[in-house]
Amino acid sequence: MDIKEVLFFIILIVSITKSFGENDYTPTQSIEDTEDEQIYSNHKYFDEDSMGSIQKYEPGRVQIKVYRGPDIIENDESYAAHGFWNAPKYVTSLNAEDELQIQYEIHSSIDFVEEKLKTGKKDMRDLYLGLLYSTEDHKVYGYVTNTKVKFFVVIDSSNLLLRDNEIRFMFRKLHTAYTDLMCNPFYIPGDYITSENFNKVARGILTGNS
Amino acid sequence: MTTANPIGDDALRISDHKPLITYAGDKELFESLKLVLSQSLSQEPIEWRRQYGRPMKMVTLSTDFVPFNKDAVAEQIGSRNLVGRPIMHTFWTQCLDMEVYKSLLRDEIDKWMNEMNKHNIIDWVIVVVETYDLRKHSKLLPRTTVFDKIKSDFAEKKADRCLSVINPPKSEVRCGSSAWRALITNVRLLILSAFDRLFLKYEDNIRNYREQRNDPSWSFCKYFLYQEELAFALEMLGIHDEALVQYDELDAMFTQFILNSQVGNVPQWLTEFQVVLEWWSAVLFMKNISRKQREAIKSRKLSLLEFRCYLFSRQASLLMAASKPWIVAERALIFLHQAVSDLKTLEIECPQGSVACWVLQCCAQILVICQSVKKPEHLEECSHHTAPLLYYSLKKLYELGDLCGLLPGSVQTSKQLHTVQVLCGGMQSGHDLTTATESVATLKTALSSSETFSKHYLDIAELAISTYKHNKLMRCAHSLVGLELAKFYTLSGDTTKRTMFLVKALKLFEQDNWKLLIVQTNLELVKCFKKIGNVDQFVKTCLQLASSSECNPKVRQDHFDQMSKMIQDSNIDCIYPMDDVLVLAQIDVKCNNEESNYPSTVSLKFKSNLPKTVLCPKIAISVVIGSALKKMKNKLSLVKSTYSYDINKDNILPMTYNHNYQQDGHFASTGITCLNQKSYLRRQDSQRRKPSMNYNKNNYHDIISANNVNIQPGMNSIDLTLNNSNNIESGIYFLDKLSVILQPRLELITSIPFGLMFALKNINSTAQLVLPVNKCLFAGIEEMSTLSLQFGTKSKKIVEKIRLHSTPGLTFCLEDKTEFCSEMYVKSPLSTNSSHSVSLPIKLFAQLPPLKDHPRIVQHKLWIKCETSSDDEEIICVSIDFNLPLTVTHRLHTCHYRKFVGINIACHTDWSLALMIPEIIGVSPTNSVVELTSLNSTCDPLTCLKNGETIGYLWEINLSSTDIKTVGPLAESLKLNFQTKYSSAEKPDCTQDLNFEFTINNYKTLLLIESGVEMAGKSGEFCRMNTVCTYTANFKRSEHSEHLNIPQREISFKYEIVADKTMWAVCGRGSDVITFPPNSISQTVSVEVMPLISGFLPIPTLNVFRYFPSNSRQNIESKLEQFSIGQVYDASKGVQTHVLPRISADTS
Repeated sequence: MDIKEVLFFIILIVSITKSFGENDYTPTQSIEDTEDEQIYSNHKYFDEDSMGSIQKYEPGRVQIKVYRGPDIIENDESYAAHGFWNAPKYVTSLNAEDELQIQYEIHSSIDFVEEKLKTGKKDMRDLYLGLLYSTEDHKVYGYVTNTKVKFFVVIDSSNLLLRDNEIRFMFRKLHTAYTDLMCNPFYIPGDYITSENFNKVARGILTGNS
Repeated sequence: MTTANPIGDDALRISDHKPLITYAGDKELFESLKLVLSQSLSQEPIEWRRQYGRPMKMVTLSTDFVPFNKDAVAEQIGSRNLVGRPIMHTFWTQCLDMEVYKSLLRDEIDKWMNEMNKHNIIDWVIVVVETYDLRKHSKLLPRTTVFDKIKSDFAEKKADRCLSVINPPKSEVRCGSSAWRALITNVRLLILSAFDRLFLKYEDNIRNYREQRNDPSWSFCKYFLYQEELAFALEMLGIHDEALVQYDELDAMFTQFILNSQVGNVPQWLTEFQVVLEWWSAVLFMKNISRKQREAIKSRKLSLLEFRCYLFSRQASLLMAASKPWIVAERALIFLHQAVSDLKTLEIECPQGSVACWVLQCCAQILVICQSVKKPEHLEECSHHTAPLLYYSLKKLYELGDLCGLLPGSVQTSKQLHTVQVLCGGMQSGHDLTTATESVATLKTALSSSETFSKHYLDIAELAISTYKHNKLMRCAHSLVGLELAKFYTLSGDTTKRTMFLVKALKLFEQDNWKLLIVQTNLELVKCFKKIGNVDQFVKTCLQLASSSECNPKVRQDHFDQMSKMIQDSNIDCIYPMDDVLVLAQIDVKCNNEESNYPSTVSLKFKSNLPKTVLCPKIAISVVIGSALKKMKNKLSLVKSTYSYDINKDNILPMTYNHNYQQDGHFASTGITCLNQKSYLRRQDSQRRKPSMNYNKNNYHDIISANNVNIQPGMNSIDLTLNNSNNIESGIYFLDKLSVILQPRLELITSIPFGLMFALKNINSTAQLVLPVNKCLFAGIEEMSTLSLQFGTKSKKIVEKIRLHSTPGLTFCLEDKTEFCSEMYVKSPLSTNSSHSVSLPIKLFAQLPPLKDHPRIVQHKLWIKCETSSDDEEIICVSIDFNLPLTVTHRLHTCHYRKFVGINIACHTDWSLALMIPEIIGVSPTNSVVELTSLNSTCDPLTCLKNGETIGYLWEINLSSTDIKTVGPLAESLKLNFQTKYSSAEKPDCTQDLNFEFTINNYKTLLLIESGVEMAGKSGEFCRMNTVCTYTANFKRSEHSEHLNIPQREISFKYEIVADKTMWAVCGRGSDVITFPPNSISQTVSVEVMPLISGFLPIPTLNVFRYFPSNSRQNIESKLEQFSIGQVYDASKGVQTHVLPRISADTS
């Protein structure tokens, strides 16, 4: 039996601008819940324009405060173009016929990622989220960077040869490739990824010749 | 389920079992202590420290006691059971008498110990219970006690196995005694170490057996039961997690075997699972363990599904016991998927639908388990995992429905009926336990008819969607379950509901911008909208599809055509946001006309995603007024002539540093801030939602437009022009919305990024007379000029007629006409667009104003009224100043009693003025009364005057003749009219009349003064400097009245001598009143004066006033009144006298 390594994977870029501190952005939450929320440390606004500050209370002691700018975070329509946060930025797969079904599954998995980020029970230092969603045929694994870039890998359910560690490794490799991509000054963050190198890495993981 | 159940024997309950302890020796004694002992043992948990560094556990021991039976022990030791095997053996005695011990007890213990040794049992304890009789008790302690003896005899090396205790029930301190506590602790420790040893040994056995797994006769089932025994024992001790580990290990091992079978490693025992699936009832035994199933496992008769079920139910029950119910739910899906995947891997032949039935039963039972959870937080936790289970069962149910023809809209065939029967049959058999029956019954009902199926399906779907929503997993709720439901409603034909679910899913996909999914959903939605007949949405969706690059070209083309057809067929105006159909790339506002900043062109660059070229009737940009120009005068200069916008640069926010300083100037904080954030934070969605409403409010929607534009797929560059800007107010305008009419009644709207603007400056219509430089118009003469009309930006239509209208006194005519008039209509000679101005040659004639007021300028106004075809009119006013060509002055001259009238005419024209011979007519009292004798030369009939030149005329009033005819005071005032004709010297034909009427009052001479300076005394003939002379003035009254014989009244004059103080010193009275008595005609006044310098000096003059003396009777104060010109004639005016220098002292 032909074992497919990875069926499919997708990268989602969530926020680029709203990555101050912990970010429990939830699109499903009601819009009225848009009050500025303190993220960390006690603080007050200097004026409504400031989004963050470093305040010097006494010589030699600098307190860093980070807080959320008004309205930018909760309301996804505010700054970014419509459909910016969770739009797929890179999609590749070995067999195209499954693509639609898998896209449905991955799209639903965003919910689980956000749930996991929201509950925050997880150790945030570990970027790997583990199994997010499984069906009879597929398993969806997730990975979220600190800037809330979401990676998904979908594997065939029958493939039990791929253990957690292998999948972690895949993600790490993808993350590295993504970091390289972001270092490219010609890449505009948020654009669909068309990088040759990134594609090579991704296809390499798919086919297992990594 | 319980023992009351007829098949109660089947149930095995671990909780019924407790670690067993045997007792021997003094049974009566033990019976009395048994209750206390068991209570004490289970009173508090004890740490169980295990070997090999396994984690420490707290164990609460609750024990059962059985009498020692050597046969039973032999059997139990021999068996492999861990449960039901005595773990500890005790021997009890209360013998204190050494003699009794030696004779009886020793043998008894010896015998018991022999049994122990025979079975190699080391877990034994001998307890000596001491009951002290305090009264009998001797004060001397015996040298050796029975306890010591037993210790030395039996437990020489294991002192802890021989325990002594004071009989607690009899003692006063009861259990509180330290000896008793030591006993309990020791027993507990001994029990646990016994277990530890037992488990280690057992694990060794298991491991050994596992090692043999490659042996063909090895069976996993057998191994399973082995290891399960260990799990049982752990469960019995209450260590549920350890027990679960055993099962998890078994689960993993089983799964691994099945996986290995993929690569051809199929052991014998596994093939026994690979039989055709006959039963697919799923029973999860939560409380009990079915002995029957264990037997079946032993005899390898269990099917794979049953085995999986058994395994899962054991895991689940342990998890429930450990009060972690949510993990049951969490594991359920994995278990189900694993089981289904196992079936596939092992290639087990199963009837169609059987697996689905099994899955559904399992799900139902797991859900029941999850719902039975009491703690709310656990219930909440469970709900996170039940939703996927519900979704899974929903999919399976659909599969079943499809298989059995139960889906709405399909008719069951007999074959499908048969399938239903087979499926129901497969579920029925097996284990008739109530937990399962309910789920089986539900499933059977669902399968019984199409209606019940639908109901069940919708129930589950409802539950699934609400559970997902409850957990705030909207994507799952709407896209997973919602789309399943949409699929279901497609079959049932309920398009409204189908649409509803699709729309909800679409919203999510759009929110996240998943193009492929959007397209897919839209493809479904198009069908729905067509069915419902929602043209608006249909067109919108078609448009989206037609412009989405994810679709193949044919589909896009097809939907575009459908859309066009739909619009043609319906009468609905469709207005949509432009979104992805046309993507704006660049906008440039160019203003060519520097003066007015008109954006003559706006170039648009946009990408069309439409599948084909469209000829679009109109593209227009609407504008909003930023502010009226008046207020924006300062800012107007800021408006650049070119504005451009590039969509590619729009994503970069204008960020700057934001430093905050404290009051004392210290740096407080820093940050970054976005300039102009409000414009970026504007909600975009709300603008998109109702574009039509926003759109209609705008008055200036057509201001920038282009017509009949071809829009090609891909990039398009289109220039729009500003048209009809004439009729809008001046101000700064911002580009607001772009509207593209793709075809009649289909309009796309988008907002243009803020900041693009242009300024409009309105020019009012103006009119002016064109005059050569330094030339002015003159009244009283025909003037040629050109009226230049400049039509303003606001004139809507072409001017049809111009009405000219002037102030009275100004008449005009056009060049071709001859008659002057003050109102006329002019047909507009304007051609359409080419020019906004018109020049009318015009002849003007302003009447000369009455000249006696000496005006310099005559002001006139000319109104120009532009009338257009619509009733608008615009009135322009032109002020025209006319200079006077000439001025006329008159003057009365007197010589004694003779009077002359002098007229001076001054010319102010640039050109020569020709004057005809003038004449003067007395107008009042009557024409004939006054006779005037002309003293002018008559030789030249036409006198030409140049600018600045003046001509004078003189007439003498023939007084004597006049006075005779007139009566009294009438003659005091004369009204005269000076008449002449003038013309421009260049055009002598066009003469104009000049009339100058004037009046002369009090012209008659009343007083004649003759004065002179004479030498006083006899000093000589000539006056000398510094010598007093006499100034003599002779006043003579007019003599006229004498002729009339009217007695002259008494008249008084006052005179003042006016002399230059450098020449004359007046020595006498400088002023005095002279009174003419009646009939006195002449008076003389002499005043001494002294010349101060020598030479010809003008003699002093006199100022004369009429004097009215005061009259105390009539209470009239004295007053002076000036004479009018001509009433006093100073005959000596200008006379000089020769003053000689002073005679020097030498000569005198």
